[in-house]
Amino acid sequence: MPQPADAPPTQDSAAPAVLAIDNIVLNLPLAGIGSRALAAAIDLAIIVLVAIVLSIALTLFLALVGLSGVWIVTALILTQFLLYMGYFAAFEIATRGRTPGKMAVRLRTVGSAGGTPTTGAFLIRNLVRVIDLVVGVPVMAADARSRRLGDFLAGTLVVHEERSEDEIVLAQIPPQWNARQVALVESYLRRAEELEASERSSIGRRLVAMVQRDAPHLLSAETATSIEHEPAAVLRRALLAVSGEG
Amino acid sequence: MEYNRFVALRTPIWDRFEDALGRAQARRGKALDYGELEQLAFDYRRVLHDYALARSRYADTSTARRLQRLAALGTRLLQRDHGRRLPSLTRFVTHTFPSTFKRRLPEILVALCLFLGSGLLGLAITFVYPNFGLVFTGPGALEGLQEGRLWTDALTEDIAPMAAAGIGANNIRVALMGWAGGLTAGLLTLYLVFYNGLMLGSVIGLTLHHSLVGGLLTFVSAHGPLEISMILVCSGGGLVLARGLITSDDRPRTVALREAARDALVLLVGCLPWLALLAAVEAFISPAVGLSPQLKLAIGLALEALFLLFALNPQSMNTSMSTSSDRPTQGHTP
Repeated sequence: MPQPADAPPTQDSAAPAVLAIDNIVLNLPLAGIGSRALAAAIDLAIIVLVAIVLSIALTLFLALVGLSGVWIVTALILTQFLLYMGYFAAFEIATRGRTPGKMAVRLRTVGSAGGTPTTGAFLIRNLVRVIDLVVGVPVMAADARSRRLGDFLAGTLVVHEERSEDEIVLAQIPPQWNARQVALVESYLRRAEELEASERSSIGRRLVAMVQRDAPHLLSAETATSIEHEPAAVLRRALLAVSGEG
Repeated sequence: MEYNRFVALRTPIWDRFEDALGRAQARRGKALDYGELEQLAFDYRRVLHDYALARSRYADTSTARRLQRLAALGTRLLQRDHGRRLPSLTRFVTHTFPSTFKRRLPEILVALCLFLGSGLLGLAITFVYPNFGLVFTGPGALEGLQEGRLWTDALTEDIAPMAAAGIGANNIRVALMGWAGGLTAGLLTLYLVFYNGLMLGSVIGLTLHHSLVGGLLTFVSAHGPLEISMILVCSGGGLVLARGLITSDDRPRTVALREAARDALVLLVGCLPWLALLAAVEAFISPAVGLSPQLKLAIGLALEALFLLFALNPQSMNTSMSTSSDRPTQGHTP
């Protein structure tokens, strides 16, 4: 029976838990002020850009069609108004919780229990954006789940959306290893390509040495040179493939 | 260790779950037949339990990360918050808005009283300083007033569509500020109501002083009554929010606030179509010189009566008044 690993250092333990059915704690990856402000900045930039392009295009189009200045100004007032008022709510309702800015930062609005919020909730949280532009940041800083006033009213949270990547899962594990060692090797293999070459080989060699110490039979027939130069590949061959040896 | 046995044993379930979620996501719930849906719900529970196990025993491993992602995604797709759907348009018009309006009448009346009080205050000030109203109209209006012209004469029919769009956008913005301003513990809402009352009172006083009040009242009679109602109802919504924020009774504040937000949203959404209608009236009918003052007044009163009929709909009395929230399952649409 493996010992439970130490407390997972993943989430802010001060944040109140989100419970799913059977009272299972969902450690939702809550988005903080930084990523949320970045998403909002992207959205605002898009709004300004679209407003400018739309004004020019609309003016040219209506002028070509032959409408008078009054109607052009009317159209401009209406489109700008709808753009500013409707952008956030329309996108969040249509995509169930994302705006272009949120997509870019990989965020999503979810309900307080991790579910899909109702249309009314999307409306509420975006209608009070006027106020949150002023007081939102201090409110978010004070809240353990980084909620702004609109989130309190609508009962929503903003979370990071994790991408579905091909996870590297170890299939062969030295018998006396615990979960932290498994997690270490898995995270090394997942990130090996992002590491600098010298770091990659020095960490890799230490991990191979660990396998060598605990389960030498997994490393059979590996030449010293390949361990020296491509420890990641050696680890992959040894621990990912399911073979008859283990 | 058991990690690889756990993974080998349970991966087929996780794969099936992820695959079903992917299909449900791609085609918005119509991709699964009943059997698959039942399987999905069953697998969701198993994934949650595996996730709880993986988090405590195999923290930070790839498997724990994958299960974390699946649990979050499954919860998002399979669970709808509050289980409440938006009411249909008919139901909103016949029940949701009227019952909310009646339940929140105290907040709306507070806004009305403040408005009337500040209006009287504005009027009273102009008896002492007749030109106090110029604070709101701008000093440029004085010259015209002395020549017997109102500043509203600038609104002519050829710029009506532009004026309608501008006025409508502005009215909705003010209404929204009054509504969302409830989040400042109601201070911004109360300020806006006070400001608008003071403005109306002092502007009436100003025109009274220049013997032009008839012209002003004719100008505002078509849109004024309803516009004031809209500002008061939206501000009432703001006060509903403020009340939820300040007095949560014995409930958690987030719960009280969310309930208040629902009512406040109903009040605001119910006002939006009327605000759009008002913009058209204010731009096309109010400045029209061809229409008699009596007709304008009749239009104004008719609009107000229509709104009150909608808001106080007597048929909504017998249903859903007893509950604190309007549930679609209760009562029947007459």
